[in-house]
Amino acid sequence: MKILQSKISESGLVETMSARSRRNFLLRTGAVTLSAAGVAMLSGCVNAGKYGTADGAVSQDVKILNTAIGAEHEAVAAYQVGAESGLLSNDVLKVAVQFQGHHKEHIEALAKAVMSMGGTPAEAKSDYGFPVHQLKNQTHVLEFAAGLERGAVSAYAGAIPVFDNRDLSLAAASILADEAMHWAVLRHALGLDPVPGAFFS
Amino acid sequence: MMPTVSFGTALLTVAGLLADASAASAEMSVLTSGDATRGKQLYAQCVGCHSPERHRTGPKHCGLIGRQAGTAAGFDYSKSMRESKLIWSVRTLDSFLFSPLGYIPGTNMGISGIKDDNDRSDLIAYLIAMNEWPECR
Repeated sequence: MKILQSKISESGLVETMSARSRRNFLLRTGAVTLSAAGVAMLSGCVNAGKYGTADGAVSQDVKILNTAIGAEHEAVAAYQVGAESGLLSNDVLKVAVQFQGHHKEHIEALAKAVMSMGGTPAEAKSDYGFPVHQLKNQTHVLEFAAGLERGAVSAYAGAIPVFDNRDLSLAAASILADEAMHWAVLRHALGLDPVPGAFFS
Repeated sequence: MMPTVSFGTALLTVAGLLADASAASAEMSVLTSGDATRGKQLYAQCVGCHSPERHRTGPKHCGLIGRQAGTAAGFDYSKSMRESKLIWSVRTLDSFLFSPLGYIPGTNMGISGIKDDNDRSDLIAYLIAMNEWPECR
């Protein structure tokens, strides 16, 4: 491992690891993907009739899934903004595109679940009004993405207990784990402690 | 003819006054004890769906306090939220954040809620402080 160095980054953050080691870390961890089992849970196992779920409960589960789809669409769009910003190094760009791909997979799986429950999946917005003017360098882009990923972890953590269909809770937990890995990798790339605590809320 | 007030009605009136007093007390409690600085940290939980100044998966939070629920222009609310007729105050926010689906069944905010009293108090204090931001005016 490279010798730790301490220098003030462009944004004022204290960098505790060399840029090379962070790049290497990004390349290694970027290979993690959402498990096939998580996708199967969503796309193949959701059957309201099978579980005898009440219409109201199904409707509520669909609403929660569609809220998640909406947030996933926003994440895809945010990574697109980052990818097209010209501010990311090639190594970081590869990881950003890979993370974006994960979010696309989440959407695909969540949408299948919604349709299997008789619902209509939420669609992407034409404009998210991202604060693009505030993104001046790679650190800003990474901080922006990390904030979204951290919020997504909270959103899934909050949704898991309220799904009527427990298969959906299981699948949401699988996605949560993926988003948490994204968050940790982005924090590491920012020179922050990737896992800042034993618990998360 | 003088109107008559039954004992039951009187009890309900007293109960209502007590509830109002309790609500006012709750408002004061948050206003005086909520830690907006800590609330800012807790707000990180919200940014998966919300932002102060722009609508996202959830509506923007600028101007939330005092606003009627489901009325921020440009956001597509659930029918339940639109029809709730709630005014967002410390009391109503506290109840909603404790259990969104319990307080407004059918809301799109499908999370279990924030169960810690101090966390809700601090978060609400931050939302109140947000109203004073230049970008929120």
